[in-house]
Amino acid sequence: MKNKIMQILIKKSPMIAVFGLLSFVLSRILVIGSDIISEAVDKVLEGNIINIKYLMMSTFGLIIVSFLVAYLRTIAREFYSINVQYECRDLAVKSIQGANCSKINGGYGAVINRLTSDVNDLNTLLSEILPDVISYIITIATVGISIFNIEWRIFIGIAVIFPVVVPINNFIARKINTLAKSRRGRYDELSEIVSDNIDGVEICRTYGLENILDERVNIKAAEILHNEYSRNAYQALAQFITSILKWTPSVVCSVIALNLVIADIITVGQLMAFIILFGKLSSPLSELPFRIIDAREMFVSVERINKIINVEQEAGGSYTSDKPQENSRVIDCRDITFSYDDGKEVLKDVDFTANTGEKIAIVGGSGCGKTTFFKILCGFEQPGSGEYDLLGHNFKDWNIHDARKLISFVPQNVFLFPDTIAENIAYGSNEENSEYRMNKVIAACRKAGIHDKIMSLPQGYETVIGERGATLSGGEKQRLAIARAIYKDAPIMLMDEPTSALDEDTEKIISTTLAEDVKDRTTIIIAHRLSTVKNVDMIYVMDKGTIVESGNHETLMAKCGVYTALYNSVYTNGGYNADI
Amino acid sequence: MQTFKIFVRTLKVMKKQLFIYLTAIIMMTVMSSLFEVANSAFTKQVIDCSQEKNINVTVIKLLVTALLGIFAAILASVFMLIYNNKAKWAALELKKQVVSKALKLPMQYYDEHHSGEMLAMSVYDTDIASEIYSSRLRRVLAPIVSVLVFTISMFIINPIMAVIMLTLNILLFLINTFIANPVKTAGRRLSYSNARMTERLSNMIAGIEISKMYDNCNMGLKRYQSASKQYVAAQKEKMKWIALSEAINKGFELLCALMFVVVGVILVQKKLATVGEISGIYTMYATLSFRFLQLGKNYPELMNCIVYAEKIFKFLEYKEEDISEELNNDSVAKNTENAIEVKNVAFIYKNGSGIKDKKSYEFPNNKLIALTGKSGCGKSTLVKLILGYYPLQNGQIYVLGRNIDNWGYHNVRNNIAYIPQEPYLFEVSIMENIRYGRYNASDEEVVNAAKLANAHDFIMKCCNGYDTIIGKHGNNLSGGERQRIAIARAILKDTPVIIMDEATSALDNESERLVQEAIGNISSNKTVIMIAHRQTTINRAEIVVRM
Repeated sequence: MKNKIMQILIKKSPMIAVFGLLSFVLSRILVIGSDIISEAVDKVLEGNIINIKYLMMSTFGLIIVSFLVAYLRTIAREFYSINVQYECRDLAVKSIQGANCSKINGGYGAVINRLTSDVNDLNTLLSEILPDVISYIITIATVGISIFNIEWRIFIGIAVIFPVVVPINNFIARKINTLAKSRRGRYDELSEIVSDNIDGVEICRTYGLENILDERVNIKAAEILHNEYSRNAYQALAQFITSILKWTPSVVCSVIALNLVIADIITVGQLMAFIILFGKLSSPLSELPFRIIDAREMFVSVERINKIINVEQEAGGSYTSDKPQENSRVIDCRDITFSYDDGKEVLKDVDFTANTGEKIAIVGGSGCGKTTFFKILCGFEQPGSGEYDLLGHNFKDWNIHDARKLISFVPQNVFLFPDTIAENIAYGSNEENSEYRMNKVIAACRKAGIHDKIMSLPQGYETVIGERGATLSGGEKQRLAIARAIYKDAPIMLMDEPTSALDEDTEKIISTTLAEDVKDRTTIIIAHRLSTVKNVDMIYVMDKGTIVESGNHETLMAKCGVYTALYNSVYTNGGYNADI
Repeated sequence: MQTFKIFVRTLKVMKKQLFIYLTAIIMMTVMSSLFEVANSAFTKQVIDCSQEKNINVTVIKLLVTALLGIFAAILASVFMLIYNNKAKWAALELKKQVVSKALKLPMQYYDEHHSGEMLAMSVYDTDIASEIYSSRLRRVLAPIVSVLVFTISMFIINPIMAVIMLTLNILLFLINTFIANPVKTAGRRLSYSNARMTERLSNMIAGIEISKMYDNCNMGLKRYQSASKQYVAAQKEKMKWIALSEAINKGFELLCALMFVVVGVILVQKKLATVGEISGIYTMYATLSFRFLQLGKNYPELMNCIVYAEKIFKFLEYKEEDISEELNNDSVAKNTENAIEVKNVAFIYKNGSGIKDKKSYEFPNNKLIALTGKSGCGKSTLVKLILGYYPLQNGQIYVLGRNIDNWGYHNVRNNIAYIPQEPYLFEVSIMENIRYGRYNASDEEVVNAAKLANAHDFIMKCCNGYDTIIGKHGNNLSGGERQRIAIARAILKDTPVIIMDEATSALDNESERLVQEAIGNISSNKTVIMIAHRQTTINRAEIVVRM
């Protein structure tokens, strides 16, 4: 797996290098400042009069420089972070766009999560943690060297104590991190329960479950609280240890320095400089392990974004064509097999053909592979073996976008964008002429039998549909999906149980208009009610992933096979009305 | 004033624990400040001693200071523990209140609000609001308390120095508060454009199959990219202000050091202070200015949390569903000819749809009744009215001879078992899901109900039988299986009336047969009302009510 994020990080690295350089300048200013103080103190103690004007001028210069440097340093850091984030998002989204659907199927929520929260983590990593680590290291190095310059013996004191302090800090940081992780998991569980309760509010209401559901929450909350209490205890202990550890080096080193002053090895001014510098050293030193652990943690997000960027892309060739010829074979499938990753065989030796203008139905029990077959026709899944030819050319050789232009697809689960009805119908169309576009939308809706309903809404076609089309009934959503397919006006129409939520009268009207709409359009429909497929040219009967029978209604009934059994099982259950 | 009220309301959640909580905050802060004071006293003693060049006198002083420091650190940790425990407790208490509330609102609320909104309220909003307990309040209180402690100690060491440093700090604080506003505005813009970006992304991903089939010109991608660019612009806007504020803080840090040296030198020259005193103040001063800055930063953050708290308390005060019943009411049903009678009922939703003309229907006792009508004619609405989801706009409904308005929704619902079109199953075991019908039912009763519902056989085939945990929205079960579990739940409730909204989604023929058979099993001695979408169902009914 190529690490594209690393490439971006490196490509943009000059900006972070500028940040590092400016950090060095800032820590040098700090050292110079402490030298000035040290000199001044010594002079005062020797009884000399200090030139206050000179002192003020020099420090004032330092202030101006550090103001500018600090400003530029932040800009460099943020520029780095913002640019890297942008490029990561861009790559990730492009990769999702072209991804092989089956590779992210079922994980949409996770993908959205990754792109939003993981890119956010990337932001924290690049604009807080990484710069902190860099400037901490630079500060430690610069300040450490100048302490060494004051007197190597104090430096030895630091060098001896910190190797003891840092690992302990490191240990505590890790421990707290693990505890935090298990806590996060429990909060997720609580959220799941809460979401479950809210989604089931109707059942809750009719079965009087308020107290029972509250209790589910209470039990999980008590569990979390228990966990929090022990975490708090640990944290309090850690707090104590860290504050003492932070103090110890300063106590020890001060005592060492004190002895050096008494022995006349360093001056009081130098002692002052040491104390000032040491103050700047102690927090980077104790924070650094925490920051490094944070960084490591954030790199998990980087890995996850990388996974998205590297998700398998749809393959495709370059062949293209825009219209099937009259009386030609539009779809030709030979011996198609397909199994999911878990090895479950869904399709086996499927032979299927469709000619220009044919109306075809696929019927069969649930789970027999009908929907999977449609996914193969749309190129969302690739057959394990067998050939699939579209307009006489192997699907693999097709430019996948051009191949899809030929197909209008109405999926089983209708998806509507949270946008206006008109936008949903004309989704993806590049029609510029807005009047023509609108007329086409209305025509499609009339054919799908939804125009009157839309007009009855206060804002008509401009009505914004809620998330997942919440304000429409199931049947209305299905009709919008059909209208979208009609709008696209492609030579092939695939419909997966498009009318299951409609009453039978509406369904009949729609199927008649669809049949008469475009004579040379090839329509393949996965049928839910056998009554609706009586009039199609060809019926394929699927059972356990394979086509067991084909023919029109009369021939199939005459065979007394699977189709007849399916038909009769419905019939013996009371049957449909005789007039359907 | 409004803000203050919300703040008080937030604290009231803790009830009697509030006193302990506040005490813990103050003591924790005092103790950790004392620790810092001990730290600087130690520095002062070191410097003083270095000038006297006599270590023996100070050794005991140094030891005492160090021990005092350790003692303060221990106490600070103990109070921190108490404080954190109370804070977590309060946070969960608040969350429990919100979650519980989310189940008790009028049904109309759920029509008008996306479930995600309530989820966001119970998870995200309460989390932010309860940051008040776990950090925000302390972060505002702590700097105030510790600034007090430090100021007092600095005054004790050297008053002149203390006044000068304090003045500088107040100046810095004011500048920071001044910058805080543009940063906040930029932050708001950032979060707005982030939300837009997420929205575009989720559209793109949730509709990926549709996008691939219909989106010829990569519109979804382009829309996301433009949102992404807007986000970058917002980030850069915020960057400018952050850079400015960091630069000012760095500059001031040095300015203070300059003032410190200059003033220190003058004071020492005039014998108004010792070098030790000055270094002591300097050590303390670094912490003091840090705390001061925190105050400037933390106050807006507390206010931000208060906004969320306000949202939550508004939600908590939302009127709950009216489940009151008439006084002197008895819960007994009357024996009447009709299980349910609907008289002159019309009902219009806010969006204009519903049952437009006044309708009356009778549903006789102990019959299998099919309720039919064109899609959109109000079948589901009628059932919802019978269940008391919405207050009637006109007409009356009688359930088992009692007017539902007087009888109270509780009694009505106790006498009806309702199976919605897509019955919801909770993410608990199958056993629990069925038991939700009647919570005190024994395992045996649950199994019997499942058998009657034709569910027992497939449940036994599940990997853990009745203990199998149902996945999110029942996705490890087929539509027919979910339906049968819901029927078992309704059977267990054992009510005189069962209302079932027939599934329109595809059940294969075998499942459909099993579901029909299950309904046959329960329809003796009960009134079963089926909202029928299929002719088969209509044909099987004893009575057909057309809407």
